[in-house]
Amino acid sequence: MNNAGLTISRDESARRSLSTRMKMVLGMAAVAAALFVGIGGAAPAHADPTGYCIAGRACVWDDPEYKTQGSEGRLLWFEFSVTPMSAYNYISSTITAGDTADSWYNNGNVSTACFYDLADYSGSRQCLTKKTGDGNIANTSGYIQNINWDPNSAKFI
Amino acid sequence: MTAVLLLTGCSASEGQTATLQLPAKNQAQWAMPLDRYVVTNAQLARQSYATAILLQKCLADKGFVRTVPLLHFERAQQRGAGIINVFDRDVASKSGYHTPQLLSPGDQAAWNQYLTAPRSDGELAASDSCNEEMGDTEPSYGNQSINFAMSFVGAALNGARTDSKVLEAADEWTRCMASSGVEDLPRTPEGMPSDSLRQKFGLKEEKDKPAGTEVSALETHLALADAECRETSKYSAIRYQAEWNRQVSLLKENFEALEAAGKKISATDARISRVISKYAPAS
Repeated sequence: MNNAGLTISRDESARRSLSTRMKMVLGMAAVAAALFVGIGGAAPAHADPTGYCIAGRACVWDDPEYKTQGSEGRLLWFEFSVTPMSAYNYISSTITAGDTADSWYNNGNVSTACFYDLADYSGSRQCLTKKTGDGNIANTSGYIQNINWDPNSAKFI
Repeated sequence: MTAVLLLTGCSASEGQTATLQLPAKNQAQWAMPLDRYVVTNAQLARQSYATAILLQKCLADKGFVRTVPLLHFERAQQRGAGIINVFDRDVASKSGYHTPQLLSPGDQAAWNQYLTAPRSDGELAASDSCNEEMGDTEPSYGNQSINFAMSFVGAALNGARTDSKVLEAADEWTRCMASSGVEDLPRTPEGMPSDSLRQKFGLKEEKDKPAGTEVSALETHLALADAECRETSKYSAIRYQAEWNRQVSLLKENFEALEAAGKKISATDARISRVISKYAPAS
């Protein structure tokens, strides 16, 4: 995933206070509007996460590029739903998957996977159709753009 | 009844002028200005169903039998099955804190079985091939349309949650709920049911295991008290207005783009309906 320019690093993102993040929301929504008009539907294609996120599942990773601490295998997967994600760590790590996931991939066979800001499938929602993903939800490229929250629940719909 | 504002936009797709129309306010339905541009869970579920049906046809041509169950989407029209989970006295009295489901338990079980049935490497390879072959013929809202209006909805939602009037009403709700005996009463109604209540009412989920469906009398009783407090504290009404105002602003600012997205969504709705009506399994 291209992280050039406007990408916010994890450390920087973590330092941002909640109030600062909230102030960003409306501005970013306006950016999203501009982006929608010009979007042609091109799929972002860089890293291939399907080696670890097997068919029928959706997966999340802590960091961009479908990795957690440099490893594609350290992920959290689900085949129906997961809430709260904060109750789970990424595989083989001590990092909670709640409010931390920056890379999302839907390797489901037919269903759309939706990711929610808050536990129990509430709050803001962003989704990925089957066989699509975004290796950095905070940047300005890919299917999910300018998101200033990391999910705490997710499910197939 | 709809309210019409004097704001027009030129549709990017067809060059026609559209007029900004607000829906009638309806707190019970939690009707919002951006609703018509949002792809709901019900629409997404129908999209998945149409995809499965088309995939079944393609796989059959390649020698693989993968039967899609017959699903009924009547429940998708009911309250609480759309964009947000409506919670009021009516919902509380019928289902407590349990979220209304899009599908009946039987349909849901059949669909889950379809999704998780073991697939051979050959079938998975055939599925990949089918996905490529179906391409644009497969009706799909696409990620941009699915997420576009929801970005604004989320912004309005977050803004309303931290609105000072909403927080004042939440304080009133807290006072109203003081006698309920909830040991970990949250700061605002959005935090209900609390962790202890989730445990008590069988609402705690494990990964890939949904919550139980049984609603106890105690759950109904407390949910009703909660709903009444949200009403008497005016929390629900004030929060509704705060969210509404933000959505109106966002709609005005992004009218053209939203109209373009809305047209795409409507066209996809029609294509999905055609697939389901033509190819869905017989009952």
